Amino acid sequence: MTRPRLAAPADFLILVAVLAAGAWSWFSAPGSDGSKAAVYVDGKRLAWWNLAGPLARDTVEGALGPVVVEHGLGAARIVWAPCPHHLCMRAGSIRRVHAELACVPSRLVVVVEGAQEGENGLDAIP
Amino acid sequence: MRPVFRLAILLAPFLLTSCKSKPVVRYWTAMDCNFDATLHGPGGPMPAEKALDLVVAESHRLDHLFSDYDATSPLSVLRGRKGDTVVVGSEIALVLRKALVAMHVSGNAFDPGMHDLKQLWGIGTERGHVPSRDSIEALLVRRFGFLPKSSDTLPEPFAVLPNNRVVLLTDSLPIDLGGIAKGYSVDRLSAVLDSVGWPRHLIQGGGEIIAAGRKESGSWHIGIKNPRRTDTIVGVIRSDSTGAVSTSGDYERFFIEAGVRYHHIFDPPTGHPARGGTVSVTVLCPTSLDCDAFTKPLFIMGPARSRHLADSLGLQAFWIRETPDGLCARVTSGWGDRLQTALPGCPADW
Repeated sequence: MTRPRLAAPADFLILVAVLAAGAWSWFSAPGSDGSKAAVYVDGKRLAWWNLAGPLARDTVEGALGPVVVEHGLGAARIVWAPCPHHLCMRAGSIRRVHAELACVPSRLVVVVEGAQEGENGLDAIP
Repeated sequence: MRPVFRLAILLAPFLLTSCKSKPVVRYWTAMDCNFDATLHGPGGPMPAEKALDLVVAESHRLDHLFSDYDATSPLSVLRGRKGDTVVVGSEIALVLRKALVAMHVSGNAFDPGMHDLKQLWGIGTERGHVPSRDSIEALLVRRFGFLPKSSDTLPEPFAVLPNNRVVLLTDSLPIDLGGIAKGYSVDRLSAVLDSVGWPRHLIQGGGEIIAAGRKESGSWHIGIKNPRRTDTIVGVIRSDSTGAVSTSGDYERFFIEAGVRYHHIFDPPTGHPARGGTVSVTVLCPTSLDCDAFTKPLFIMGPARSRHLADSLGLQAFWIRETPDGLCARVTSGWGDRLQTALPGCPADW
């Protein structure tokens, strides 16, 4: 009587391929869908857009009223906010992951989110 | 091959992916700036979102505590008459003491009595302008009691006594802890996360950062902005354990008049934005309170004095200067391999 084999040589090839796919999935899981511009008001994520998309403008409701965000072609900026000093409108565009724009009176933050977190990426940019 | 074995192989990549804990992030506003907190697992038992709710609530409590424009703020008791003694809470007393330490060790490059001067300049608002010399000098005299020269030892705006009693040394002077309270607050928010089982986290508030613990995926990496192209970076700090990072730069709030950049980092004895040649300084410290207290003095003070101050406090600093040939950098000697930058070194005389 012979003991049944656990696996044939071909099964080990499958095992190697599947583990390689698993490793790829492991390292690419967070944010592998590219950078996004996301808008948070009072900590809640109200809108997000793929930064690689065409240039577009959208309106988000902040604490003081509508805020207009321009996004696309790899960048995002605030083009209108009902804040008294319009600091966020003058802050320019953001492109890098973790870059943020804030309209404090509107309690609104625009942030670039993406796949650069990790050993080769940045955790923050003060 | 047994079906169970085949199934286990096929499920392996999905199991591996689901085991990896993704960080949980929250963005919000408080203390007149943007905050964010990133929680790395494993943590708990409190759910990450619940822990972040506590952090946001704590930031709003601290916002009220240190507000200098809210008439009901606990800080408003400091607007009394010269000679008055008031009692403040232990948190305000701690930050006031730290403000006095920063004022002393920096030779008056830090001053918590600059609120009215900052309002006069309006930097960071739509009414930013260069005020008249008379109006600047009037506020300097109101703050210090005389028109100071750079070599003068300047009087403190208050003294902190035991039992959280504070003696006011200037009449009706608004105390501005904006240059130091955010650092204290970021430390507090970090302590909240530690207390509820989330010791691996990064908190950023108004440019003050604390990276706590060591995340599963390795070291923390903090980028340093190019002061003249703020969507690019000129350096990276690597940290393997808890540490705070702070940056002050002339690009954060400023206006340009007649070709001159007027920024928000004031040299107290002059009543003007600092003109030492530094355009940005980044500091690595044990706590965010330390970073917040000493980053601006390290920006304001000249190169020799600021290097001496950083060395004496055991802080690691990274200065960026703008020259006709472009940006250059100067660093303290203790960074080791924790700092990488592509900027050239500054001339030896700076």
